[in-house]
Amino acid sequence: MSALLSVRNLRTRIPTARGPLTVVDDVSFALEEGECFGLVGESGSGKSMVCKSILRLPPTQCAMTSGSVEFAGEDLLAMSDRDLNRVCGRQISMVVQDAIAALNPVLPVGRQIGEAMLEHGIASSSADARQRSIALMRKVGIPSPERRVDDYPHEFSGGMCQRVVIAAALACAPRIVLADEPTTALDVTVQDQILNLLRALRAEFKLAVVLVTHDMGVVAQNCQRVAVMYSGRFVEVAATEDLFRQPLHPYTAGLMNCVPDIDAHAERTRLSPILGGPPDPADPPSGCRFHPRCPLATEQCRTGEFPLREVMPGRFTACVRHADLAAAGNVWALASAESSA
Amino acid sequence: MTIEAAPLLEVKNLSKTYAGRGAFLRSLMGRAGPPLRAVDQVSLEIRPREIVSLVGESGSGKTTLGRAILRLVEPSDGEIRFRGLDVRALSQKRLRATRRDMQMVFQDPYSSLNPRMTVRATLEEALRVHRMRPADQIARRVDELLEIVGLNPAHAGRLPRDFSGGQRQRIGIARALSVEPAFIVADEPVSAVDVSVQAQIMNLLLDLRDRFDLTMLFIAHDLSVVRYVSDRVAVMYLGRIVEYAKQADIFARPRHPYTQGLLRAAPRADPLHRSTTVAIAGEPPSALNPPSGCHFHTRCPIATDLCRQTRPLLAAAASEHLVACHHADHAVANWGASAAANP
Repeated sequence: MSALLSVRNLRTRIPTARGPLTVVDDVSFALEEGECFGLVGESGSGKSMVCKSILRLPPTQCAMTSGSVEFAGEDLLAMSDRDLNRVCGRQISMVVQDAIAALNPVLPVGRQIGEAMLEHGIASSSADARQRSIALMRKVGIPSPERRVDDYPHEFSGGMCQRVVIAAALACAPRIVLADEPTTALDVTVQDQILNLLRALRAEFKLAVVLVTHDMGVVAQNCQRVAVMYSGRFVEVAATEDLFRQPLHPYTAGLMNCVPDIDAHAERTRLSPILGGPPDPADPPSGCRFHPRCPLATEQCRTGEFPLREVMPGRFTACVRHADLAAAGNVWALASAESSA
Repeated sequence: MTIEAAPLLEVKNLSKTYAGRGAFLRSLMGRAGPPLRAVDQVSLEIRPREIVSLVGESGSGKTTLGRAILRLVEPSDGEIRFRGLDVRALSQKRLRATRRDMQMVFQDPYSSLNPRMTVRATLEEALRVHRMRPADQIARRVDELLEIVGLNPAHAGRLPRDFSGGQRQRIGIARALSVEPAFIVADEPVSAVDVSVQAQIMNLLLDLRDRFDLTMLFIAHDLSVVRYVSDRVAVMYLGRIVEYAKQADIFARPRHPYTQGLLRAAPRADPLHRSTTVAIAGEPPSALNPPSGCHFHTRCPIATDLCRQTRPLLAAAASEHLVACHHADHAVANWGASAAANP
């Protein structure tokens, strides 16, 4: 089966006053039709930059990007801006975290939803675009869309603005939606509504979604496969069930250990957090970038190169000690017992 | 913990009302808009060494309640007793002494620290103003405070911008601790930091409670965080507390339909049990024009005419379990049935 989108060896470097930062470092993945692929990691791990690099959005547009992003037989990174504009918003669209900032405050929401349809020739006239916008607003669960289509973003709540942004992303019936933390700014009940909406839309339109999040719960509930990012790199890729059953990278295991369980039957045990903080992107550690925080790190981890390898069918990890990790049980609990002893 | 201990903090019928939008102009014309009741007749008791969480959606009034308790915003009505003292009746001088005993840790550690003051200067100021140490011991105390919160005293000369988000939150905690308070209001102290750092900060707060016998009001919106740190949990909706119970009871036998919905809405880190239905439909109504009766009736699956007409009062439904719902028995039976269906 050929993938809908193939990202190969993507590397994005952004020039800054402190020299170029490698924000995405040799990332490869394939997105299948209708799939929800999760990108999980902490802030600064490069997960949003992966999405932005795919569509060459700022600040990656002037970046030194290498690798390829193949969609429908063409490389998005190699095509002209004009050709990319035919794809961007039409075949691949994006939903961002801060919906209120993403919307133009002085334009009615209906116009913003309809804009892409007029641009890409989906709608024949402004009146047609307006009618289609109303239908989309209804689809994403905005009450009385006929009345609200001419309202401005400030007249909507944060959750409703996120629905408007989703409607705009769906306007041209894209094949792929890149959803960059679409619910992070929302209350938990509204997050639940938006994620249910995305699931329903995925099924209805056979949409493939790249879902960027820092929340392992959101991954567990929504994604078929997931990539864990750390310091610009993929450190583990697996089917969601496999990842949660047995993580094969200490960072993944650590992330799972950081989040308290809300299940009333689960025992309330002390969390064993990952110690320290994420690395400085301008000066990442040598070898495995996670080694300064890793309880399993050895001398080898400080110097070697650790590319993502397939260690079991469908399971990729960058950790050379993944077998020891699987055997060791909760390495984080052991590590934190040692550090406090 | 002794259950019978006298409460350290008692809040009775506390309200905070803000004038409605355009109130000034309208009042000139004799037509003031409706007031906004951010906190609506809240009663709450917190015992010594207890961590009570205040949980709810944005706009539920949890931050306003926390600030009103410390008189950082002046309450409109009601009573606050701290160690039996009526905080609202205190003279300025007595209030200052009581303030020392009641501190706050803010959500955004960066905007709550002076960007031009070194960490040492920030902590020294608090120690000096409240005369916590003789002048010659202040420097040593600053080092000690930094060690207590897990920071390197050698970095005391740095500015807030030189620290990461998690480290800044530790500085904010050190500042609160500097005056040796008995009670801390921690307003979303972990919601602005990454998950790995979140666990470090929560463990720090739990350790500090044990070490210094602290009592805390912990404001949060994340239920997993709440379950981890709390002894008891108060759930707020549109300015009112709708349920108040021990942590284990809130999570195992929630009795208010809103609490139940919040629990169902939180995404579980378990791909084998995926939810497929929306937990609570709709959005919180405007606090400027809240629904009649029970504020939650517009989103509640079991609301009746009674709920639309009459405000349910917070009352004991079981031992140490307060709930403000006319149909709490019905709700808890529903919860039991759904738990049995999805073990």
